[in-house]
Amino acid sequence: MSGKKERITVSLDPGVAAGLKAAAERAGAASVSEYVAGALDARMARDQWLARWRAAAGEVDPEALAYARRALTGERADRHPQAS
Amino acid sequence: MSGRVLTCSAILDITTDRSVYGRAFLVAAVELGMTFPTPSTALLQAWATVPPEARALLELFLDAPAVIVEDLGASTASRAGVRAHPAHQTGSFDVAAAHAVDVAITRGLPILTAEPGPLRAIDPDVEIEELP
Repeated sequence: MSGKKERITVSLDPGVAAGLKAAAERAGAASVSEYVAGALDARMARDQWLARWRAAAGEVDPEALAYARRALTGERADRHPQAS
Repeated sequence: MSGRVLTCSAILDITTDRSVYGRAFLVAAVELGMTFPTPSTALLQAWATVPPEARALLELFLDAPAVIVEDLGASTASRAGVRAHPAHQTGSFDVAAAHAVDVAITRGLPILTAEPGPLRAIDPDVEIEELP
């Protein structure tokens, strides 16, 4: 990241702001700004890769995606889908 | 860290669209900020198996923020090899399966695969998420 910084003001609900400060502290970030910059950088990298993937491979089957999200987050599907 | 360790069969599901679920798991993992440690031996098998027209997608898969390639160093080889000794004695030994099991145990993650048999032969208790 470049050394020159630009100040951007955002508005957050008090609960979100408190959670952000706590998360930055837990992560050992030098500042909330550093934590937010890292999180945004990671999020933008994910979004850019997803756009490249969709352009190359097409959209993912919505039911399969919902199944995968449930599986990865530990929320089990009601039933195991049959192989397609 | 949360995520899944990938096997060659999972990589093939993702890159060749054998089923809709491999790609769904990859996209969901990226969206959720999870990791997919990928043993280099599984990657070798995948490169050898995918048809030439799927190689570009395999390259793109490797660029995914979720994917972390796990190399097979000397310490991993000795640990995974000793663990796989009983499977080797019964003739059901697979190098990439032994590597995947070691990565899964080391990282404390389940393995995502379409072919659980070779993994179970190495360690019947290893946690597996089988692709539908």
